[in-house]
Amino acid sequence: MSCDQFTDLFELYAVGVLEKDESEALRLHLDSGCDECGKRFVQALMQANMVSETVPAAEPPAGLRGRIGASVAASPVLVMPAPRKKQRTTILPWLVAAASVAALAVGIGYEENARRADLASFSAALETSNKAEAQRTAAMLSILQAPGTKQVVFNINESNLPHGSLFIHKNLGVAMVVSHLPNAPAGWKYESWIVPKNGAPQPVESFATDNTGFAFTVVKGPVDVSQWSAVAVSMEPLDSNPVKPTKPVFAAPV
Amino acid sequence: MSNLDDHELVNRLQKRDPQAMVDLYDRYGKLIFSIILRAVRITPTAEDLTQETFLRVWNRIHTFSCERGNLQGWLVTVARNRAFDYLRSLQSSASLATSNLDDLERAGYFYSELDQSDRIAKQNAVTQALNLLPDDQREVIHLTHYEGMTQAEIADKLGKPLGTVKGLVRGALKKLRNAMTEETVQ
Repeated sequence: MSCDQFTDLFELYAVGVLEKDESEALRLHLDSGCDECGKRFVQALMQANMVSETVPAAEPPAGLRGRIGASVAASPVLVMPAPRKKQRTTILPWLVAAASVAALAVGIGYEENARRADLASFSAALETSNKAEAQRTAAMLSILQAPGTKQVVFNINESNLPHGSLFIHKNLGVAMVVSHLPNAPAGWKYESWIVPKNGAPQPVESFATDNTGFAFTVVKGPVDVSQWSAVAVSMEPLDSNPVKPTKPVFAAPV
Repeated sequence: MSNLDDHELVNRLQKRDPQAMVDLYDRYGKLIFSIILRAVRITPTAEDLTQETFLRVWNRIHTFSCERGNLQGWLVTVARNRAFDYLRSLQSSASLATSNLDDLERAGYFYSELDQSDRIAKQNAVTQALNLLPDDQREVIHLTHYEGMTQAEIADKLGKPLGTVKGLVRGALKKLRNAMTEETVQ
């Protein structure tokens, strides 16, 4: 599609209500670096926000101010919200997930801005995390920043499914960065796995999401991903040391 | 409130000052709650999503430009996305036929080249243009921007042909666009 064909789409894209095919076409066009359309999108986003700001005013519940203040007072970085009554848990068999993401894995390449933003967030987290978590974060950062790191995105067009990237460095290891991963239910945790082309999945580590559904897991190197079919995530009972996946959640093909 | 106030607030948030979070809420909490409540219509859910919105900004504030960022615009976008994402989570596969909301929240999109008076002028122009829209055009804009409905969903809800709905949306957006660019409102 040419720039002119996007003229009437920017505002609906900015609100997130464009149909998927048009949305994808516009996203790819914006990602291609078209300055003029980039400006029009930013303008459309501003316009969309100004329309949103015309909603009738409603008074928030009195306790909300204290609740938000308290949520950051105790833990200054990466705080978790109170769970909503409706858990948006997405659990798919690995084979189904792998089949769906295989078609979407587009190889190496991602937006530099998003990578820099992620690095900034991770750096902030690194400042105040405990030592073990800091080491884990540092391992992930070293993979992201290393020359020669390759990136494979998965499920990137599926806003309601866990999606993100695998960062692969043959010597340092593999970092999986994932968004939109629901908080694990009480009594459960997330576990990452290497799924070899031959043989049983091998557990890597337990990890948790932040309140935004963001999480990462690191497979320390050196690695030979040519022998892997995927890096996968499952849910496991909180106090377990799993030897095989209990509840597969998704798999990201390498 | 001035951009200068927001710059200071962002600076304090980036220094992880918890009181800055309360000040952020005092400044924008009512607006954010109103946007979310208009979409989800359930007060406890709106309360949770408002908290999620503020925490999302808190956790990502280091990606935001202290000098040039449009903090209000960023918050409104995050709030709207949280509300629409929640609504989609209640729906079936039809909800998957839309764009990735996370893509719209990158802090880099919220660099403002407008000073506060220019922004207020444009806000007034958009509000006025919205009020001047015919009822059917204003209704479809409310359904897209307040409730996160696609044009196909609007056509289904209103019992109108999709082409008619697209025409209404296109006409309304053109008038709003003209208002934003200070052209003649038709």
